[in-house]
Amino acid sequence: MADEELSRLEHQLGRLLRLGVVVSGACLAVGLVLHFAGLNAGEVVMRAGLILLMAIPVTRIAASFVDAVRRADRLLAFATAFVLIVMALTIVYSWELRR
Amino acid sequence: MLPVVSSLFAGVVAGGLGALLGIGGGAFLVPFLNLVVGLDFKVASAVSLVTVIATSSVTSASAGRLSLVNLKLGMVLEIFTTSGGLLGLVVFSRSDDPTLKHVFAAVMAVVAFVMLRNLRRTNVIHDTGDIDVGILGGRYLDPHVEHPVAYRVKRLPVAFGVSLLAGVVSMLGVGGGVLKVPALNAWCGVPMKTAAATSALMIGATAVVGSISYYMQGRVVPTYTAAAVLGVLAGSRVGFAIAARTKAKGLKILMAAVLATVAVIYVTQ
Repeated sequence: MADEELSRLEHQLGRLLRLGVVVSGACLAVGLVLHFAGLNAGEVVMRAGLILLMAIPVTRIAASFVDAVRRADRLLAFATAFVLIVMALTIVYSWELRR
Repeated sequence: MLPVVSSLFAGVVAGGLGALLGIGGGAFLVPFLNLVVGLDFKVASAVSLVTVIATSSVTSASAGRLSLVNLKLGMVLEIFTTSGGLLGLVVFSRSDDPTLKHVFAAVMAVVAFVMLRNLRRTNVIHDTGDIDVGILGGRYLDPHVEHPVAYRVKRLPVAFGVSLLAGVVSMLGVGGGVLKVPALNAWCGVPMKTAAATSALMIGATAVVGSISYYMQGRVVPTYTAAAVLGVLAGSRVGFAIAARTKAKGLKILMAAVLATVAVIYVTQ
């Protein structure tokens, strides 16, 4: 029952992780080449790749949260929600730090 | 251009180590970027931390590896690793470079010591199908063992504490797998390969906490980071090819040697 559903989630997460890394890696490679070709667009593309990379685990956890809620898995729903809140707090803290 | 190429090369080695050992490779990348490429320690740790996300995603997404991940255990422990990460950001934002380096060296030394003391914990039970593994335990198929195996998770508070500590430490540029993997294996009953695979998934979430913060603080220099990430992606492919033919014991000895070397470098600096 729950184990099978959990393993299906694992497969989907695997696909998400792989896709995210490929797209992010492509942005970083293209950005780096553009940068060394002397184009300003290089930095923008690299930054897009970096933001995409950081979005991968956040997306994984958000997806796990939605999945846990749907399966009424309280433990996982709590754990993933907690982690998302910590990430939000980090952004607030870092924003404060910058000022 | 040379520092960027060096970052790429460092990433390749770090990615290879990460895939081989189940640790982020940050233990190698931070000192390399700092000492060899000459980046500021704070920039080096930020760049390294971003590569940890790549290592995590690639390592845990590879075929066969995901089945070794204990998703439940990982997500519960992520509560502690990410909280520790935020705590680490707050604490380290007030520390100077020498302090950070000494903490870095101390962590590496402790882990190397722990690794060398516990070499034979496979922690598995012959799975006859009717074994109760508890809420967080698990079972899997090991290609090196003929029968299915199962394990129970013991001393959960230890796992929580170590995860919190790993989260704090990871803000220095490592994933924190260097602490979690040996602790989960030696004290909490988790088989080495499961500990490594689960940790590999967790470090992505932990590293994101620090990466977002460092990115917002302007410490994630795009050129070096892009090069290092691409290197890590290439290196982890190589690491996997070798890892498929290596047993847990060899991995552990190699891991301890890497950590001890890093510690010695920073202490003697």
